[in-house]
Amino acid sequence: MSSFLKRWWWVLLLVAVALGLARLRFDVDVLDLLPPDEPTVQGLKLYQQHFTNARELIIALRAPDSETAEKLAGELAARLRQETNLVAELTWQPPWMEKPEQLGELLGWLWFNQPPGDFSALTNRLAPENLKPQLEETRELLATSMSPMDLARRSFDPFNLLTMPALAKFSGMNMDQGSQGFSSTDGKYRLLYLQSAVDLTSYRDCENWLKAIHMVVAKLQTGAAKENWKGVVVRYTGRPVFVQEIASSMQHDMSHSIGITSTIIAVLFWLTHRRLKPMLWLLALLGLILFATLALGALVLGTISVVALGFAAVLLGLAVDYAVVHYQEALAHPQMTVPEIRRAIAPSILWAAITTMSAFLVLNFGGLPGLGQLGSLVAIGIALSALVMVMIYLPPLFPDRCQPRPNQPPFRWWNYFIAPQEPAVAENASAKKPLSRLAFLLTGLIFLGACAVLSFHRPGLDHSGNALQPAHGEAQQTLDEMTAELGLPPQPLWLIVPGHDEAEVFQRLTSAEVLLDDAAKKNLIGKYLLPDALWPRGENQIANRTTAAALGEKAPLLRGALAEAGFNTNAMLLSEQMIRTWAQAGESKALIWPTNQVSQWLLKRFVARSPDECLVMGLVYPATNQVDAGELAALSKNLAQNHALLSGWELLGNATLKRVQSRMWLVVAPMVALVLLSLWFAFRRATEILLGLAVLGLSGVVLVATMALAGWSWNLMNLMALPLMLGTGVDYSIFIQLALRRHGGDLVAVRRSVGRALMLCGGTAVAGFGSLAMSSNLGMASLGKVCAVGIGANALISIFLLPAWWRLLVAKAESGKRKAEILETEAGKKNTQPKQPAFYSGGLWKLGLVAAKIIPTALLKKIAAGLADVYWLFQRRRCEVVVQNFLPVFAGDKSAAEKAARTAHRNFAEKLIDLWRVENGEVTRNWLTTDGELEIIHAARRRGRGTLFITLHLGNWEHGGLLLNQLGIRLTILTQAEPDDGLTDLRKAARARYGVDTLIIGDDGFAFVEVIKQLQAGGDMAVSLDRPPERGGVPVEFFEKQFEASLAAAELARASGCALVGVTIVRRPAGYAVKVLPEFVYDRKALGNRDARRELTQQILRAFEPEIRKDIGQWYQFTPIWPPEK
Amino acid sequence: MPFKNSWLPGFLIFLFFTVGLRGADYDAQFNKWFEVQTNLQSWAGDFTQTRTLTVLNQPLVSHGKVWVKPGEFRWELGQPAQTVVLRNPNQLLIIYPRLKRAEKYPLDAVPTGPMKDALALLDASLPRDRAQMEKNFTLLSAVATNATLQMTLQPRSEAARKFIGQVVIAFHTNDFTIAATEMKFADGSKLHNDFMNVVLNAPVDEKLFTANLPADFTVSEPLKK
Repeated sequence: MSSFLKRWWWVLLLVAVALGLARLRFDVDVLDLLPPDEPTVQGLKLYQQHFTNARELIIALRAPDSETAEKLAGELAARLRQETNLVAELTWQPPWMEKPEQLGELLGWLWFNQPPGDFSALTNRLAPENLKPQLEETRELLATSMSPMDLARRSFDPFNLLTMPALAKFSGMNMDQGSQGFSSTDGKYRLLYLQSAVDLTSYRDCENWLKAIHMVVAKLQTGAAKENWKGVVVRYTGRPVFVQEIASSMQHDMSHSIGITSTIIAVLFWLTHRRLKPMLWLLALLGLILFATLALGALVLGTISVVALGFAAVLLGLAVDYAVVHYQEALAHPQMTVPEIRRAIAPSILWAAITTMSAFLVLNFGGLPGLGQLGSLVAIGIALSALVMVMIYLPPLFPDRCQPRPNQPPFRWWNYFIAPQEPAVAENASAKKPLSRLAFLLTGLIFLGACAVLSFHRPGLDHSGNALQPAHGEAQQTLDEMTAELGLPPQPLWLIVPGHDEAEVFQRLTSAEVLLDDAAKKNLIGKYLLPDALWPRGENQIANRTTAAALGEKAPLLRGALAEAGFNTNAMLLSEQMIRTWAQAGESKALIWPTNQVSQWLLKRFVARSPDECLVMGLVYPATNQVDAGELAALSKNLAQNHALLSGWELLGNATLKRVQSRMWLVVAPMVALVLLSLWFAFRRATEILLGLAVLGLSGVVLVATMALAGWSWNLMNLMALPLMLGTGVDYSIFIQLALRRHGGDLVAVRRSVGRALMLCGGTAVAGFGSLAMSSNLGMASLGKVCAVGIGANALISIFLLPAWWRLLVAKAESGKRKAEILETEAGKKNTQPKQPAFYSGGLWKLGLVAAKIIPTALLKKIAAGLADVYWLFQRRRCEVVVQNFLPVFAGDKSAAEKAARTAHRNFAEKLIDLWRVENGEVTRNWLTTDGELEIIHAARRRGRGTLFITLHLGNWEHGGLLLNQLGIRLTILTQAEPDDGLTDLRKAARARYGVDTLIIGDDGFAFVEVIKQLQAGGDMAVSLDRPPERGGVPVEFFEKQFEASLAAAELARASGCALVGVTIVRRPAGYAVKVLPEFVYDRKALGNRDARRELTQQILRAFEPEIRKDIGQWYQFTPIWPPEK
Repeated sequence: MPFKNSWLPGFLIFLFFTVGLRGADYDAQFNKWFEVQTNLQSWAGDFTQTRTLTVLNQPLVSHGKVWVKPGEFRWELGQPAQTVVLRNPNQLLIIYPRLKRAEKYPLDAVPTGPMKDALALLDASLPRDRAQMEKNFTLLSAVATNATLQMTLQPRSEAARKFIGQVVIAFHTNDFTIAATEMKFADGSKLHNDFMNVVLNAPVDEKLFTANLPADFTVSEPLKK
């Protein structure tokens, strides 16, 4: 990457950060955390937007007695009303008690909305001849009634106009309704409702306005009448307080969690390295990363939810790992330059970053947009951290190591993704230390302890919406207190009905009522209160206009009748206002609403209007004090189909939880696949993969047991901990097991190096997630706690227990492999020859045998071919070896070689299946042979000097033994040991089952003596010649290129005088084609000369060349066969 | 229904006063009155009720009968009775025979608030001892005229005063029977009762204190939430 390009990228990043900062906005509405298409969420949002006045502050005042409460509430109201720059309107007692006559407008309007029949009947009731009897009845009632309600009402409603159909269903309302909403029944608790005179759009506005209000209240409390305020408690709630509280808790969350995590990082780093400069530089970079992540997050996501801001601490805990790994590497390899370290470390950091990013990005599938946003922010931050830590962290710390070496190969962009080959490490002596009994004891104790805990108690699943709510601050506490003091029914559900106009709302309201009525009959709900009877009806208003105009002229008549009946003007106040309303209604041209203060006050409790939208709110009371959200789900769905949104926190929790549960597989399945893929690419050994999964499993058990002990439960937020734990937790077991491999199983060395680094990384990750526990959002706090425990358990188990498990289960196989690697190292080929593919292990071979037994062959071959394609795509380095091997066959034509190599991979996959089937005991009979060629074999054998069958790694060469067995010939195969001792034994036993013996040659010189003896006794043996031997090869020409060939065949011919017969077996659609080459004739005496032996070898290989050319796609050469270019 | 409800506690207090307080000499006579109370088994009488309402130019007058024994009473207003009020230790029942309607006020489940204050006032003012009554009321004046003693009391509780400004009790000083009561409400309304033909300790039919409401009567509980 050129320096210009590097600068260009950084500039681009800076521009993006600047643009993001310009876009940065915070969203303090916790509802934005939730899925916007969920009806319950929509309902709750509409409720908060329209029915909890954004500018309304509620002041709650509690005094020792009701007199004091009333007096001080009045004083406070008067004082606040003076602050006209702060308070637009203040209500501290029911407005209709101060101005009862204003109710007339609302009542007149309600009459105006009645069906025309009812409204015109009113004309009759107010006809001159009916007025006298009506007033006489009223007088009698006032004289004899003992009903306080009747007396109070009829004094001000002598014409009984309050008796109207619309109010029939409210007749049962209790008498304390009058003061409900303003004071408790004992009068000691009073409420004041303030409308702000300033716009409270942002949380800063809310904060400043509330501060000013607090100051006014405080002045009054500490002023001249301060004695009166002793023992009086004033508290605040309402939307401005919630917004201010959420915003300040956001700041608190951010500052505290960042502060705590940063401190823990600094302390851990100091304890580990005791160096100030790298620690401070690390903290500075982390700060920069946080800032840039926020900006980039804003650029990508737009408005950032406050809940998502929990990303900061998590990011700190994870981002620090990259710097720590870099720094550790730099300290461990003082001879390496920074570019070399970068070259060595960048791939692992980038792949780890990609895994972690994936884990966080899948949160976007979880159904909670806020949490998805958190995941996206962490993912952005992780990408940025990887970039910053790889490119920026080390240079200032090691200025003398910044320049690349003169002979250093150029660093290409793909070098960031492809790890260099690890240097070989000799088996460590300390690896032979006895297994840690303590680790196994601990494993057992932890597992049994956790199981014991879980057998008594398991964490439940919280169906409520508590996880979505902010932690109880003053605003919520005051609201709860209000609900209790005012005797409001707890947990009502809101039914929000939106519509473009009044008619649409009414139609929806009516449909909703049918459904609610049915639900009430089925006892799904207790009762419900819909203001449908109070809702304006356009068609009624139009039809009633004439009647209204006529009634509007009745004031003089009614006044006269009242005076005649002995009533004074006080009795006419309400009726007068109603008549005035009718007079205005009679002149109206469009649908009308009442306008005075009392009407507005009452209507805004259940009606919200904007130029293009009308909303109405009803209340639905659950059948019991526990909302069974599951049962209400169907009702909610039906209502939503009619555009009526049933909502409430309890319902919300269940609905959201259901969504989260239904999407869980979308989150967990990719993570499980990612984890398995990571483990596969990291190990390619079943045992180590299973160990990685065992760590995840045990840490999961520990987590659940801890949750049970701590009394935590699963909720819709902390369920998301599962993918995070999988994504971040798997890294620890990968790091540890790879280190165990590198250090030859030396536990002490592993713990001292990687273990130490992982302790630091795990500690910071736990600190990052753990600091979320203090989040003001309960769900986020629970997510933080669960992740901290899960990841902490994962790290500790990986560091302290996994090595012991690894030693027990992997060490044996590992030691066999180590031997092979050491031999390779000795031969100086380690860096040029890749290891055998991973399927050359006992475990996977067995798996293949089982698969070949139970899966239909055609299907299995398709799967195998697919896997071969995947292998071709992702194992380019290994595949390139095959291409290089094939190049001389195609005279250097790379394209043809690549094509053939790819075919060879697919064919090899199929061949493996054929082989597994044979080793499973399946008998092959579809041989394509010619009698003439078979006669070559029989003729050679008849001489009785032994026959050495020479073959290549071409086609299904292993099938040769089977063919000969069917011809009555018992063959002994001469071979090297497999990379895995278990596999060697396995294959030996399988061959024996179909009558083929195996002789492992290896480095044992005495084995050749045995071979010669058998040949001299007339035995039949087979050897492969197309791979260069580790030692003692002779240069021959093979496809016109120099090849270090094995002299094994020529040597055996010289020693035993055996017949040399070349054979190939390749797969054709119709069966296995057997090709027997003409016997190689030689002069045994001449073979005493090494050149003659070389010449015989040359002759043999040249004879095979046409066969290879013919079936190059079945020539399986996966290790380099050509000597290195000089 | 969003309306002033100052009448309710006022009425209840009124009812209790009319049966609970029957006058006394301001000091000695008052003590004597308490003494009579202790020994009283029952009393009954006629009354004339005058309601002075702020919305009417002239007061409304009606007649009725009352029967009282400790903890229970029956009040009939109107002839024939338009309203019957029955009180037993647990509830107050107001029956409107003509309207076939009844209202039930359970006295043991009254929520805290002005109503509770009013009832507490009543309990305190069904005096078995003078101290208890004085705990709830302040004596504003005591005037003796024509063998009656008229006392004007004021509730000590400010909340109670919001509904009832003053209570006037007049009783005969010769036989310590009740003569008159008056409630002055905060809105300026007044409710005055003049008692006549009062008989002490005469046998009272127990059936008078029980209500057998016909099935077609509608019963409501206005205080029920």
